[in-house]
This record gives sequence, structure tokens and C-alpha cells, in this order.
Amino acid sequence: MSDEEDLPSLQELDKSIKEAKKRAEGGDSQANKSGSAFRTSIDLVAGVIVGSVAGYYIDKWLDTLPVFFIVCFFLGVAGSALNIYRSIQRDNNKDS
Amino acid sequence: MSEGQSPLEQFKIKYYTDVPEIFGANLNFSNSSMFMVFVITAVSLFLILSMKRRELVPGRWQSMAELSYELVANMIKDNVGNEGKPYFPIIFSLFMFVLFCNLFGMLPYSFTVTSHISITFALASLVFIGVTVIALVKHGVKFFGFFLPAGTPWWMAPLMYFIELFAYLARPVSLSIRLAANMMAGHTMLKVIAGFVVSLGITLGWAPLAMLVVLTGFEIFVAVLQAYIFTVLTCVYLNDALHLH
Repeated sequence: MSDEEDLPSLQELDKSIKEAKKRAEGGDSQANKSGSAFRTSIDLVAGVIVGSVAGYYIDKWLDTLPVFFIVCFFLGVAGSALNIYRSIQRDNNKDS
Repeated sequence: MSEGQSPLEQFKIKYYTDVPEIFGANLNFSNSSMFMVFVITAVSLFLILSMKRRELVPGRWQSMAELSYELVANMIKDNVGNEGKPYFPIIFSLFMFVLFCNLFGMLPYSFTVTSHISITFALASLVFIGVTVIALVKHGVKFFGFFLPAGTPWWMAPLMYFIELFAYLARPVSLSIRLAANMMAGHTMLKVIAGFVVSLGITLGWAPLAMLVVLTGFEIFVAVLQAYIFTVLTCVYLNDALHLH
């Protein structure tokens, strides 16, 4: 077993390690993408829920039932759109 | 289907004690509380025992403990900066608690603590209230200017103020629902597909069994990913509170 015999196999090993690392990194960014998809889908719902619930209870308190419910619903939709915009912007900043 | 075979049976809270309600609060010890005790014991034992020997060249267990430490430390450094360092203990505790709750749920016959919104919402409101208090203490009245983005025309200001306010209030809701929904959906799916294996029998049951193996691996990945996302978003919110961009 001389060194000359070992060297090519070591080089091959090095190459395959590098390839595996590259694959792992590629997989990682794919995972990040699916993670951000999960995040945004829930963001879409959360603002609507918060807006509707807050509006409903303000109405119940002031006895003005559909007024604040409708207003807060749309504010909540706008708020969730804003949250999604922010989270996508954050992801883009991280990539570059 | 017979008793105990429903895919949702695993999320049922069972009480082991019968303590009377005190001021309307249910103080009984449930399977959820029991698994939280398990999780806290496991996290403590894991960190204490693996760091006991403190070798210069870390062994397997010490590497794992250091890996989790460095993951959170880098997360805080990347998302918050140096001002975030005093908050490392709470963020690290949150991360380890959520991670171990998710992973404990993957053991057969165990209970997934984080699949209940009551638990995740308590954690998320801890983050939300804590972050709001930090922002109020650090910036005082200026905190309320956070809801008004710079350069808003005056006639848009009231509308923008309320939209930003609702976006801010939606944070704990999205943080808690994301974790609970992901854990619950995954565990329900596993149970449903495991039910296919039994009902298809020996002849055809192999196909869902193979899928079950893949999905179990995927669920472990989701468990780690969701703990990571929870912690990253905590860091992002802390960053907003400290810097009020």
C-alpha cells in the first residue's frame, strides 16, 4: 500500500464529498423555500382572523354590529398582505 | 372504527388528577403536562450531562449540545445583532422546548404538546408581550411611531396606522397557528396512513407502509424546521422591537 495508490482514491473521495455538500446545500435552499411557503400561507389567514375577531368584539361592545366587523376585516386583510410582503422582502434580503 | 382508532384520538387531553377548579382555572395534571415535564427533564439532562466533561475536542454528545447552542447564537447574531445577546437565554430555552416537544411527539404512543393551540399561543403571546414590553421600555412613546412607516402622506396616515396595527397584532396568531397546525396536520396524516396499512392487510398494505416510513422521516424534518422557524421569527420580532426600523 503506497501513497501513490492512495492518492487518486483520496481525490475521488474529496470530489464526492464536495458533490455531496453541494447537493446538501441545494436541498437546504429547497427546504427554505417550502418553509417560506408554509409561513406565508399562515400569515394570509392570521391577519383575517385577528381583524374579524377584533371587529366582532368591538361591535359587541359598542352595539354597532356590522360596522366595525366589516372595517376591521378589511384592515386585517391589508395587514396580512403587509406581513407577507415583509416576510418575502426579508427572505430576499437574506439570499442576496 | 372501534374506540381509540380515530386519527384524532392522539390529541385528546387525559387528566390524571381530580383537583377542583380554583378561580375558574383547571389545575389538573394532564398527559400534556406530563410530557412537558418529560421534555424539560430531557432538555436539562441533555445539556447538563453532555457538557459535564467539557473536553477541548468535543465528543458526540458535547458536539450536539454545542451545535444547538451555536445555531441559536448565530441566529441571534444574524437577525438581531449584538444588542440581542442579553436575550439569548430565553430564545435558547424557547427553541429547545419547542424542538423537544416536537421530537417527543414523534415517539410512538407519545403526546405532541405543540399540537395544541393553547400551548403554542401561550408561547407566542409570551414572545409578543415580552417584545412589546422591551420596545416600550427601550423607546417609550416613540414605539407608537413604529406603526407609521416613514414617508406616508398625511391623508393616508390614519389608514396606514391601523393596517400596521393589525399586522402587528396578527403576529402572535400566525406564530402560534403555524406551529400547532403543522404538528397536528402531520400527526393526523401519519395516523390516517397507518390506518390504511391495517385495513389493506398483508396483500396491499406494503404500499402505505413504505409511504409511512418516508412520511415519518419528513415529519421529523418538519419538527426541526418548525422549531427553527418559531425561533427565527422570535428573533425578527425582537429585532423590530430593539431597532424600530
